[in-house]
Amino acid sequence: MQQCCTCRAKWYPPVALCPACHDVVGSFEFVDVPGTGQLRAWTVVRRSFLPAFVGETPYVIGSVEIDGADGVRMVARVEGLEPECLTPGLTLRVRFRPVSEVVAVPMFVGVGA
Amino acid sequence: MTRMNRDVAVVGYAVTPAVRHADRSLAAITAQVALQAIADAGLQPSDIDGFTTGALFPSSSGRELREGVEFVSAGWLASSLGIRPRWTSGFDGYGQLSGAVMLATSALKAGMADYVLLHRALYNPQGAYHDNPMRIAVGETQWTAPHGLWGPPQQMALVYNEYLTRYGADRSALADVVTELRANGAQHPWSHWYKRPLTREQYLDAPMLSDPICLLDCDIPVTAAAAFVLTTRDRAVDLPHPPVYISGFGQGSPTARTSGAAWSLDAIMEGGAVTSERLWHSCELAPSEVDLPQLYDGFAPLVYLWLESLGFCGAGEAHEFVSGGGIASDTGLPVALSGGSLGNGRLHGLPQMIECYEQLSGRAGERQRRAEVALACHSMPHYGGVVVYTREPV
Repeated sequence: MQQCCTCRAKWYPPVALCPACHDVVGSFEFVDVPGTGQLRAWTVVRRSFLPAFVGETPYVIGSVEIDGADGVRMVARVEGLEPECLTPGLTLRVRFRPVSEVVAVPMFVGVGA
Repeated sequence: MTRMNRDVAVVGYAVTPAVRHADRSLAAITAQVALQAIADAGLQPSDIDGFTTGALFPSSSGRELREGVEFVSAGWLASSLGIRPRWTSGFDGYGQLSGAVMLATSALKAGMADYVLLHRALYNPQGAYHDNPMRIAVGETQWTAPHGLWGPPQQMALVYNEYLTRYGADRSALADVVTELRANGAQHPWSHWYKRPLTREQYLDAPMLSDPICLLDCDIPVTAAAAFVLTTRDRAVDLPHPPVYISGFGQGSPTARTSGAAWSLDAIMEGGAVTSERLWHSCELAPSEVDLPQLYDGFAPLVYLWLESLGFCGAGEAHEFVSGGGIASDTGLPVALSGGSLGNGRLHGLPQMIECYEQLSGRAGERQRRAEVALACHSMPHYGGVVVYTREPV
């Protein structure tokens, strides 16, 4: 996760200048976080606007508050959990799904998965 | 903060029918409605020396945008009418309509123009509004598209889900909002939904797009345009219709982080509190003093967020407030009187502004009410805007 070298605030998606301390130096590093977080919001997509995903509906997208990241959220797919099982605050764990030889996309699964 | 001067007024308007697809260009529709608005104000095209709009075409489709086809800018409209105004400006933030009113008010007060034509042109393209054929996600889209998150309905669904779970609300409560908007929109001959109100059952039977957002929580895309003429108070009093004064303004802060990944209920409401504080300070009025608050409703849950942001009810209370007649136009707080976007079509704040103007200028016909103060919202509480209108300049 991106972290401001001046004030240590973390950001996702990455920023060009830190919205917290506004340091014009704009110096950042990427640091590890535990890879878990709490589900804050979700939606079951039944009508996708992107052709690559039309065949995958319905699918779940979650907004997950990442542990160790000062409230920063990541929006990604939630896999392996029925929508009826989802509740605010549910702990999820990140997994990276390779979509090509050089790109992996984060997604979230239940902690027991 | 000091109270805004009430030295600028709306003095005329015109609106086209909202249609799914027009049989002529958006350029032609907009030019015609502009001329109608100028005539309505009792003026000649040669009197107009200022033009403004917010020209955004907010589709997520990635289409190439052409002037006069998908959008109409202020300068382009002026030149199409054969006018060379001394002041032209476009609002490029969100809350395009309230932002354009702010620009016009500033220019008139500063003497940069005497009569401003403010227009808004909306286009509904062939094919689905937000469908995007992208195969590779780059730039901002890399944070959303690879997850299958695309388009405002899905972003709104995340916010609305958070609202429902946090406050224990049921999505059936929104039926009261949508049916009220449709009942009012059904009374406008220019509405896409003219004479077509909606029942509660129809709302609850609508297909889900992205839970908990259903099809009828989204406004239907239309092609339409409207135009208004604004001028200074001293000039306004000589024109045929009673002026309606610009008496308050609140705009959210432009945010550096508007990526779809960043929409959260807290971010919207924290920004909305700033918008609200600016608004009420600018007019030195309280929510209870507004007779006709016209809230923005491009997505139905936005009515909740505006009700709470502007202080018409407490945080988390809107879903209860709207139930049991809270926003019934005859007996409750008439926030849906214009019919909004859900009752008229995807008109980006135009119905709300038209309602304020018609009611306060006494031009609402059979729908006329006694009212002194109205307001019109556009877009979302954190980065949209609100304009307060009054019948009197004091």
